[in-house]
Amino acid sequence: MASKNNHHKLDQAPKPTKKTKTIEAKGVVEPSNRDHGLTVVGIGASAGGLEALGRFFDALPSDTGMAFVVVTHLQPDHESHMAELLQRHTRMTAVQVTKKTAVEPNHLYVIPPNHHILMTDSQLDTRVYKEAHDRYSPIDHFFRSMARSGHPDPIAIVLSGGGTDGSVGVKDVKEVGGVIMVQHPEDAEYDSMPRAALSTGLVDVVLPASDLAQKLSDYIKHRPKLPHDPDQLSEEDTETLHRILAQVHARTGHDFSPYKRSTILRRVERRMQLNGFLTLDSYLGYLRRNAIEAQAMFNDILIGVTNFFRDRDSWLALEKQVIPRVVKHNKNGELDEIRVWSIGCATGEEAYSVAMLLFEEADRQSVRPRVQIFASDLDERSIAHARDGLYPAAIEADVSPERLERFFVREGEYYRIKREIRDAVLFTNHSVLRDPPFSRQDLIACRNVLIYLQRPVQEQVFDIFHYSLHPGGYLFLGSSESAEHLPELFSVIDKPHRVYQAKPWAGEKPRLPSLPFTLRTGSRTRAITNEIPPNLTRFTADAVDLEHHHQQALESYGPPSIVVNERYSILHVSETAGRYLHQPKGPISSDVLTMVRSELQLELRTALFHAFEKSKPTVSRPVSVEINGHRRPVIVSVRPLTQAASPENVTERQALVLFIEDEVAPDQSPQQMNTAHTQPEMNIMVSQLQAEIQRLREQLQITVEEYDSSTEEMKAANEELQSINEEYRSATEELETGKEELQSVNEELQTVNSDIKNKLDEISRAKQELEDLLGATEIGFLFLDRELRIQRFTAGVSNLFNILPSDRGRPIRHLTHKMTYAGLTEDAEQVLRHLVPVEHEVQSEEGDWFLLRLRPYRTTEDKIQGVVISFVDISKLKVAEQEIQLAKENLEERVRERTQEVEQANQKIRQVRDLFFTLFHSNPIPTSLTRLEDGMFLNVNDAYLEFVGLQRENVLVHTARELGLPIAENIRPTIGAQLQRAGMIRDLEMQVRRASGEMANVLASIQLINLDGTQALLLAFIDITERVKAEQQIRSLAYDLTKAEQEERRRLSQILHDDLQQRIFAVKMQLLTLSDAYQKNDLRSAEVDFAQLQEWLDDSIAMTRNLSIDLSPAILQGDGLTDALVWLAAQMENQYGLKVTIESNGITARYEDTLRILLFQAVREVLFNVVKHADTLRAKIRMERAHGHTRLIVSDGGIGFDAESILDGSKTAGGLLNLQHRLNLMGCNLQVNSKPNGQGTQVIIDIPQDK
Amino acid sequence: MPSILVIEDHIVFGKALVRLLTEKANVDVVDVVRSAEEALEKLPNLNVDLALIDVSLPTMNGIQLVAMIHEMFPRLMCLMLSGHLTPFYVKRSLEAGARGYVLKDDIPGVIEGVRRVLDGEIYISDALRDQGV
Repeated sequence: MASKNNHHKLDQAPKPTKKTKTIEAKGVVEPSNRDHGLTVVGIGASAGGLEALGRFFDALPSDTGMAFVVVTHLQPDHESHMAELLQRHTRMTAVQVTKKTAVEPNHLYVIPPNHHILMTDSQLDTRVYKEAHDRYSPIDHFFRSMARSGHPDPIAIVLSGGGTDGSVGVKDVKEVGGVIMVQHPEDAEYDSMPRAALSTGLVDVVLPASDLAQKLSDYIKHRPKLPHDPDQLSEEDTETLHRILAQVHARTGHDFSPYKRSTILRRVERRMQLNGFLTLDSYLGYLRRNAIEAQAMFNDILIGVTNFFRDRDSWLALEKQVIPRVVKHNKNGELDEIRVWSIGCATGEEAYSVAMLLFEEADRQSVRPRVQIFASDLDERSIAHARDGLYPAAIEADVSPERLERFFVREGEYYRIKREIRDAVLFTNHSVLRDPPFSRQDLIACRNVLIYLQRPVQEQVFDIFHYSLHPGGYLFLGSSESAEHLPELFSVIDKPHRVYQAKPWAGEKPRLPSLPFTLRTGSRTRAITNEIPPNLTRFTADAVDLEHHHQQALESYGPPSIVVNERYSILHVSETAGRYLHQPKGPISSDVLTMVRSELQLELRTALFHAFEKSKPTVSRPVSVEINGHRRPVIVSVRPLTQAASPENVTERQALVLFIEDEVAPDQSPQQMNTAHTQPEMNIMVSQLQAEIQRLREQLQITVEEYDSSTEEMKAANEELQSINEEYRSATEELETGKEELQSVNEELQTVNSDIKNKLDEISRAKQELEDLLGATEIGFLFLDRELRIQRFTAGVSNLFNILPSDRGRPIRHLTHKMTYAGLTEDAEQVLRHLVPVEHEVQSEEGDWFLLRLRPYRTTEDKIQGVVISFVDISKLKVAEQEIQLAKENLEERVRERTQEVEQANQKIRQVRDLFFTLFHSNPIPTSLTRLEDGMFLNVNDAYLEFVGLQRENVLVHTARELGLPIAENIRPTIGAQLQRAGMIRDLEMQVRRASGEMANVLASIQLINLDGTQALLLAFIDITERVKAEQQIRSLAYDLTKAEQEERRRLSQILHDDLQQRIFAVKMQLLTLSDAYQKNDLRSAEVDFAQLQEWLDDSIAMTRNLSIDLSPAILQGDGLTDALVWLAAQMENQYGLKVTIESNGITARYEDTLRILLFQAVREVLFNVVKHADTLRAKIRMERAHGHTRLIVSDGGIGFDAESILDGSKTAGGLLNLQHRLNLMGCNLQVNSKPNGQGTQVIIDIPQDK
Repeated sequence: MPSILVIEDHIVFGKALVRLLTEKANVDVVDVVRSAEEALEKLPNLNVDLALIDVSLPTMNGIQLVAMIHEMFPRLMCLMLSGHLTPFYVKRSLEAGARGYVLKDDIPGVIEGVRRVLDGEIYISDALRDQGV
């Protein structure tokens, strides 16, 4: 009977409050070695981590008793000095782990490069990492191994670093009850790693690095001394624990009392330790004062911890054994969608993992089923996170690159789940214990949820799962959970990986199992807090037990009894009642009248009739019954049981039947046992009575038979009624099932609805913002459909159109507008036809200007739905434009005026310039204009060009240096300074080079002028070369004269000293000798001396005479040179024995004194030279006229000399050279022809005719 | 009798000098040469006690000659004879190795100079000494 089965199931679900010793599931959640031995602290750090580690260990006492493992990202191929570096900051021993190392307290262990560091039991080990560098996440690896090592209460610390390493590992640590601490992102040099860890929502402590150290040492000191087993808690502590849960329940709306006590106790203990409380009482106080703490506790208990494909092997089993069947099932067309329920989805990884498997399988089978995954969790925050679908890059450790590529989009350090997957999952806040379940599921994934629940609650949940699953649907549990103890509900598919299949339900659809918590009124998030104090319920439970004992005692010592219902079915039989019952042959029946001993049948039937029909207790007369071979009178007492045992059974009445044997019913015995009369009387009476009895019996028999037959009829009717009733019931149940299904559907709808509502809110917000934006920009928009009917418009439009909200749907041409623009409709039609935007500037009747834009209205599907017309108020723009136009015209006018003025000024300037140029170029004084900076010619006049001998085009723009015309390079610095000081220099004598290379002396005037900011030199000069040459000649002549004069004097001095003086000395000496001779009277000697003296004096007189003639030959006073030469010839012969012949050819050669004396001296010098050097005593002077010259030739026949070398400045020719020079200056020329070859010498003097 | 070589280019003065020396100074004038070159040519073959040298000689002058004699015949005394009343020449002569310097018109000085220098003294004409030599 179906209903019976249902009852059975209900009975099977014990009350959650019933005290049972919970059997904890073995597994990762509850590590077995909870000796508070060594606490291991894993510290992950990367970029900027060394500094943070330094501060951390500086602030950390060295005797905390903990072991520290520092995991950093190291260069794979570099030796690491991390241990040495950290040793400076701590007195603990810092070592780099290179081999298996036992973990010891107060030690610091450092990861080696190129390795993962892993923790096994209480040892550290390393493993070479083989992953690609960008998937290198040693921190996650270590945290995970630390969590799995079974080491109690691990602590994970994440410090500064880039990337997201550590954010996956912290989940595992958190899940085993560990503590997560993170450096405050603002304290961290690189905040990416701390932020990624924070985003998991699992972090317990966020502080700067040094404060973390303080917090850690406080944490380790504040370990509460609570027993591990919640049953060992003291009475008061148990009570306090209850209050704590009640507090959490009141604050968060979640009742955790069905959760395992040990788990709850551990979470509470952790919270206490984190907040520094040593007793439950003090923590309760804190919890009451601090509203956030309840939420923190809530989060801690729920620990939204999950990963993608967590327990890889189990997922592989799911992928291989379940997913293909689920998808295949669909391919056969039996279901139109795949429905999956992920319970306790936390941040969504599990749900997404299932979705990924389904999509992959669908790809493999090339089908595209509709996938609907319901993902439920209690924690709103987790759900929000899941809906976001954003995960740190560290999930690379769990998700293969192919899946990352297929299902995720990279966003910086994060991966976002793709839309396709996201849309397949519906996230909802839903409690499996409280809210109606989702139905017709193909797969339920409920991993690591049941382990937190007490066992009886677990079994109720299994009922719910079975209900929710489609027959043959799959159940995927966590590694520590099992459904094997419910073989009637689930069959095992893969035992090690916890995959089960729901057994098809025989018969009709099961009814919705009762929900453990149906404390729902309206809102599902708020539960009424009318909990029953557990100790009270426990008390009730005790009372039930006592009653049971009592019952048992009564059953043992009371008379035999049975309980029957109104259909006379036996419900209960007491211990000793068996002897009054027997099972007749035939079908087994529970009918008491069939089973009771036949002797008692009649009495019992009558009594029962009385009991049920009249509700009266009846006691029968004693009936003799043979029991164990003795006949005994037995009284049957029947009492209706009016006090119903349970409210549900109120309609079914019951009766208690007691069988009382004679000795215990004395009050009845005299009456009943008066059978001892006299025998004869008796015999007559007996026969009479027997006859009577016989008659009555027969009568009775008839009655009985009649009765029986009517009873049979009644029974048949009754059975008919029962069956109708059954049908009603089943119909009711079906209705109920229908209602429950509706509830499930409703649940789904609500979930979908809330999702839609969120989207709707977003859309309406976006719409509002858009409208605000349009309002703010004062741009009017008018949306027309393809028939040019008004679809929508913004407020800005109503300024231009007589438009009302009720005008929606009206064709645009029905409306009047206030614009001087007739072609609106035509333009709109044109836009629709050609899909080319149209733009107009139109004016409203008020005179405002608008920019009208008509463009096709495309939907996101690129469908043309109509026309959008936008109106931008450009009145101000127009006004500004006009102002600008005006200003522009104004300006142009002024520019014209100015241009004219400038033109006039230019004309004047041109005139002045022309005048200037005329002056400049016609000026006979060479003038140039050069740039001061580099001497580049800016302008030169014709006189200048003529002077330097260059063409204008060869001069301009070149520099003087380039042209080889540097002007007074050497005086440049001086004149520069002077020019800067005075602005100009006058009468500067300098040299200028001409193009021919010839240097010219000029008298220059230089002026520094400024030409448009360029400093230029204006140079004008007069050529004074001739004047300078004349001056030089004069100077040279004066020099030569002086020199000749000195020469003459030297000659005279020499004559005086070398000859005349010596003679006078000799005379003086001779006089002394003469005087001596005279005194000695030596007359002979005196005579000789005397004669000698006379001779010497005569010589001296002649000499002085010659000298005076020599100095100024008297002959030169006369007319001509020829006379003087004749005298000279006589002198030369007379004095030096040189015979000079003269051929004058009749030339008298009259010259002015100076030239005549000079010519005389020259000839005399030549003759002296003949005397001195020619080694001959003959010379000849010849005079002749030729070519307008008078030629004077002095020649000899002497030895000759090398005229070229001698005349080249030799000392001996000094006199002749001097004369030659002087003659040149006088316009004459002296030429010497001679060779040292004995051919003689010829000196030729040419004198111009005009002299 | 001490022997003397006279180096004097002026023939007339040379004659008057030889006569004066022979008469008044009681010395033997071994020879009169007219140039320094001639003196240097003859000196190796002469045995003279004193060379009386005119400062003004053609080509090589007297002071140059003294320097050479001093170099080649260190024991030969040299007395300079000059018409120049120029202290500069005196100084140059003594530096070149001459033992005395007399002016040509200081006839007693010439005799006294020859005698003194032959006696190993240094002698300079009074007129020059008055000029601060």
